[in-house]
Amino acid sequence: MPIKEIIFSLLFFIAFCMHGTSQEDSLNIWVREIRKPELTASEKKVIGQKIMTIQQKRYRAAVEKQEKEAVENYLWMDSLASLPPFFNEVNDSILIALSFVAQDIDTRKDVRLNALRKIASLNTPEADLFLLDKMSDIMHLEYATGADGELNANYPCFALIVSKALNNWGMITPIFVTLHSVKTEDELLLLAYLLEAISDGATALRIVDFHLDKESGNDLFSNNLNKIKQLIQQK
Amino acid sequence: MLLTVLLYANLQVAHGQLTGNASASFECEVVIDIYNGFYDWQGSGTSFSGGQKLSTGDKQNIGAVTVANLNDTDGDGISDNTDNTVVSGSSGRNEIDLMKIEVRKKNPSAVLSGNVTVNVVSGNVKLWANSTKVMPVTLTGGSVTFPASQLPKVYYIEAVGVSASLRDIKIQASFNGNTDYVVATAVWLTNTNTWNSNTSTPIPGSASLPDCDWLGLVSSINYRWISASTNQRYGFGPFYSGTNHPLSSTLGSNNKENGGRIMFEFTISPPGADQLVSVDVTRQRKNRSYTISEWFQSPLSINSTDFPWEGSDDNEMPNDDTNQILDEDNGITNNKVYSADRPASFIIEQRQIGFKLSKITFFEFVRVGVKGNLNMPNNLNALRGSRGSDKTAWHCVYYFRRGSDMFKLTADNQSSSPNEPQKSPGFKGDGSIAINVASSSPTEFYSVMYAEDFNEWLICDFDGDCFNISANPNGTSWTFNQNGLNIEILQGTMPFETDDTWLFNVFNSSSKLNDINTGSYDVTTNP
Repeated sequence: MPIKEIIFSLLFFIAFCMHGTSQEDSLNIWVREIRKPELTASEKKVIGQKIMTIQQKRYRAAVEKQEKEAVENYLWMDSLASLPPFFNEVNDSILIALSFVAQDIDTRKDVRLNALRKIASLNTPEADLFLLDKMSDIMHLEYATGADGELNANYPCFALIVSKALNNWGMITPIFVTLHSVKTEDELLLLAYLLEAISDGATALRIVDFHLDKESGNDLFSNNLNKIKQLIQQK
Repeated sequence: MLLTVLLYANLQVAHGQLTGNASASFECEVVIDIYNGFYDWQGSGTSFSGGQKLSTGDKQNIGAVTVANLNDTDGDGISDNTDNTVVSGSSGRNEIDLMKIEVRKKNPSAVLSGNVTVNVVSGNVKLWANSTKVMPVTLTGGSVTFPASQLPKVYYIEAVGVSASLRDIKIQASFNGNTDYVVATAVWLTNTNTWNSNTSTPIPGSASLPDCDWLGLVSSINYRWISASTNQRYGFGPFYSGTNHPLSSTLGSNNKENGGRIMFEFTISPPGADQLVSVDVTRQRKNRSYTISEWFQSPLSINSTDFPWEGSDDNEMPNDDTNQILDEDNGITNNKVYSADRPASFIIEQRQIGFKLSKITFFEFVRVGVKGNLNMPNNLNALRGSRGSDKTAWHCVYYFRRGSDMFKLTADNQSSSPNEPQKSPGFKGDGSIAINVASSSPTEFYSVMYAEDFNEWLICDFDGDCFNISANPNGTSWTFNQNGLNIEILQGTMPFETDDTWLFNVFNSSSKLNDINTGSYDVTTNP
């Protein structure tokens, strides 16, 4: 066996042994080795592949580490949020915990979105009210490539609540509760759409008129409702 | 008293509620009824917003409604007005656009003798014995006659063209010298304007485009999809996309997305048809999207959608229409409705993405239903009503590469180009690297790693072909000029250290394009 092949095989063996302890060290060995002028092109390519493999592994390990750290602290959400809805007190506690995650801007977006999904699945008036109240505070947790997905991306709270709106008359109460606070034009637009999504435009108008009569002395509430009424009529 | 009755009758005529032969129709022993279209009359029947029988007053004053049969309900590729069999297949429904008429005895127990004549008084229509067409009714001088003993008799009216005016279709039944009649309207929408150029100027909600007045769409175009740097609302290029955006903390009030913006105007005929129908602009999409990232040698598919009929869905099923709040104005104002889209990418992507490309072709069209019955569920990607416009084909194609300005994605129109190199984690030096490639340089991934012991850089491609880059005589710069790559590395104030590594991709494609325009585009070609 030529001496060069023996050395080459030996180097492979050393690198193999060192792989488990230090990728950096073995990388440095290969970087030194590949400089040797006596290497043939094919030998050089084999070493080049080793270098690229080590670099790629190092890169992937760094990415995976980041991913793991980002999600491992939130695995509790999946189990807690699956409790039946009649555990009201427990659900209140869950809502508080989930809402903290959903509003934490330092938490990863997919984790926050997952927290919002769990909140939506609680199906309690308090949970729905949270989603309605935070419509403009928690935004852009998803990526939209076009106008079609823009609503979901811009307003994840709204997207979640509108997805379960059809014939969901229990949603009426939180909608009218949230209308007692100051709303932006966009929020009123979405709330008008939500009222329509529960049934249809004509029914939504009747419900709005009913509440207008009922609380005619509350200016903020009345203004919000009148604007919603205009938006429904405009459609 | 007699004068009062006559005066009342004249007033009614003036209001179009009765006609000159109204008294004759009152006397007629044969009655003709009409039903709205948008209904599959086969079997037990399926409503697509229609199928309602019009009341005695409405059948002459309001009239039935359907769409002109210019669509392709059965999805066989033949326009239904020239298709004699419109029966459901793999990508379509039974015909739903024919209006049913029923000619019957006013008194079901009456015994009538003689002939009944059904006459097409006006309107561009055909009569069929079957709701899926198949069996035409031959008209002689615009009429068909049959013995009264065959009553009740059912026909289906096909509007083969668009009504010139409301209620211009009139069908009359005559018996024994007396008549009864019904009227109907066939609507259709036409794509009357498309804005997809940087030089397009209309501002929704303003005097330049007052009929586009739905707040959701107006705010999308005027406040989000507008370019922060040029105020362009349409066409290809970077745009703002709102105050509350994931990139707001990085980019503030600058453009945060890059891609195309387009808006469509559809006009309904006949004028005033909004009193009869509701409409909803919708969209179908086929796309292929890819990224080229670090440690990938070639484009990786990230998203792929086919048109609904290419799978097992109906040819009128939308697959790009989950909401109508932000991108449609379906409220008909002065006979017009609007829709818009902005296929685009965040202007700064995940750090490992070097190239991002997407090829999308769309069909924009309007679906129509009986007014108030075109239900808008939470997910609009469902069959609703019937297609009431041609499908307007359009496309958006973008090829972006990671650029030097904050790694923003910029339009890449060169046949072969490198992206801005990314430093691997832990990079110590603050020097610079400049990369140029020949137009023939192949698609490839490269790592450029520093070895302090030798003051050399090692450049390797994805397959492990490596070259050492020795320092220039000054010892602080390095030049590589080989295999179509030209690389210049300059040391900064902080020296490079071992393992400092730059990563970059080169992407070669003859398909590179950055455009939003009308017409279809073959998205299946190689990226």
